[in-house]
Amino acid sequence: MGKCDLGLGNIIVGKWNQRHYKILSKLGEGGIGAVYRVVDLDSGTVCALKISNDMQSITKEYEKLRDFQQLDAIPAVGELDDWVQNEEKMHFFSMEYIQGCDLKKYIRSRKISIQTAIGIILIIGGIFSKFHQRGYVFGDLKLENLMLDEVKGSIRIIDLGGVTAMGKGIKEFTPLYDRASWNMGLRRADEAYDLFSLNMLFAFLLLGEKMPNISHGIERVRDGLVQAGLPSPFLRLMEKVLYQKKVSMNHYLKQLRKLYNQKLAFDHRYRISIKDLRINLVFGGSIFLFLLIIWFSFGKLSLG
Amino acid sequence: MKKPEIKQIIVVTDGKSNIGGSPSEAAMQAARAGITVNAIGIMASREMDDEFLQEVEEIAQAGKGISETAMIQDLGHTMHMVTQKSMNKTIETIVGKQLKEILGNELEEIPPRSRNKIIEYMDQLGETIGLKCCIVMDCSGSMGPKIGTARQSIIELMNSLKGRGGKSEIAVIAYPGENGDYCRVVQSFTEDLDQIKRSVLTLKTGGTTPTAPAIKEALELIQGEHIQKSLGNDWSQTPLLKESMV
Repeated sequence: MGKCDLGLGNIIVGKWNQRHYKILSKLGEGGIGAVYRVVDLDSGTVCALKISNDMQSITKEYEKLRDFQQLDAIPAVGELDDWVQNEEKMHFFSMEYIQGCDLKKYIRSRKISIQTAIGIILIIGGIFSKFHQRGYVFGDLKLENLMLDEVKGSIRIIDLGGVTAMGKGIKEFTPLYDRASWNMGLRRADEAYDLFSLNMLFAFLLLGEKMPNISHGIERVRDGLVQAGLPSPFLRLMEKVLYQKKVSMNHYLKQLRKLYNQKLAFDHRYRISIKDLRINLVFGGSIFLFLLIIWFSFGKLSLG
Repeated sequence: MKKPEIKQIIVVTDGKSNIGGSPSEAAMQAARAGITVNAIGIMASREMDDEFLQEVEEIAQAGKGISETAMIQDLGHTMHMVTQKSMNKTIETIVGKQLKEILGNELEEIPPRSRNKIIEYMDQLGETIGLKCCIVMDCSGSMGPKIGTARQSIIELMNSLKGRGGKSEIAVIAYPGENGDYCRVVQSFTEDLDQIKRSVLTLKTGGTTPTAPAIKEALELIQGEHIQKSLGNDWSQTPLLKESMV
């Protein structure tokens, strides 16, 4: 359901706009449809195409992308069209192709520091807050949907399929980041839903391969976090979010920023202490030299 | 006037039916009564058992629903997706008909950028419409090690449906039932999550796979509120009697 397999070189023709797209490669596949890297044969530009037979999902995501175009983190969106082939009706939209690596692949190849993990969560949290201000939740957060844009040098969010108006039921989600899958509440769009998934993303960044799966239960996530080396006040805050006790997104991000700055200050202090060491060396060295000269002169004097 | 309501059955099974008649015939009966029958096949491994898969597909096809396969750990997510897709399909059909009456057009004949208003309307309908969902859960011997996750998936589906604005009711039927019965109503329709949590704990495994009688029981349970109990009973018991005579 919702999937189609297109080979390299296949050409997709928009039913309404008559634009031609040639398939270059497959970028990914989700529950709703597939995303391909294509070249627009009329303009010669390379872009990404999301294709599915689910008209509702494709139309809704296209509109959400348009609604939130002012956010830099979101890919620039092109056109929405249909494609009919062999009696099968497919729906697609075009968008900016983002060159880079998704975060899931990235953390598999190298370990990231706590400081970097906090930085990432602060960026995503900031984007989430903008959705919340406009009465929406992001919904379907996951590492695979976060791209490290090599050209712009920033983090981009590539899938808006889970964006849901506050108070409505969440329809698209990924179990590992979804509080209902962990048996921690309703699948309903509210601020706490996004905070739960953000907190899980943070846990994933900290624990990497050691991240427990749902059958292990939420306690195992908490146990993992205990060993991640976070200061205990923030650990308690993360625990509260895991168990969906009342924590506001604002408070969470504020505490996280404090932690980020503390770490920076710590690094800074460390650098100063190295400088201190250098000063001490210079200072100590000059005293030594002074004594040496005195001893030398004294020796000379006594010899004479 | 009675509010519109979506009625569906979700058959969850991990093996081919082996007693009690044809499941797809039972699904067809339900579809004729306006009840969608979806089917989820639980796979033991990635390898495919063709006959089993075919039966899962046939049930959904006859029941005008959605069929899907899943590993047991993905059952919760799959139940959500199947319910959602099948609801969307029903709503698309209802709205599509209205559209045709008003505009003489199908949604696909309207330019893509103009569809959004109608799709938003369908979305809103899906958010607020009443939903009755009867889960027909395989409890045969082979489900033994999976039943814990199956219980959790039912609770999860309730948490998912309650996230909507509309009224959502869930019922659970286990097959086989106890003491040689083909099936057992574990929970009749309720909105109460705690009630469901309690009753799924009574799900036990062991015995055969009488899929068809369980689907008929679900049909009867959904219709029970409109048709007199005795009438429904006679009608659904007939094939069972034939089966036991063989």
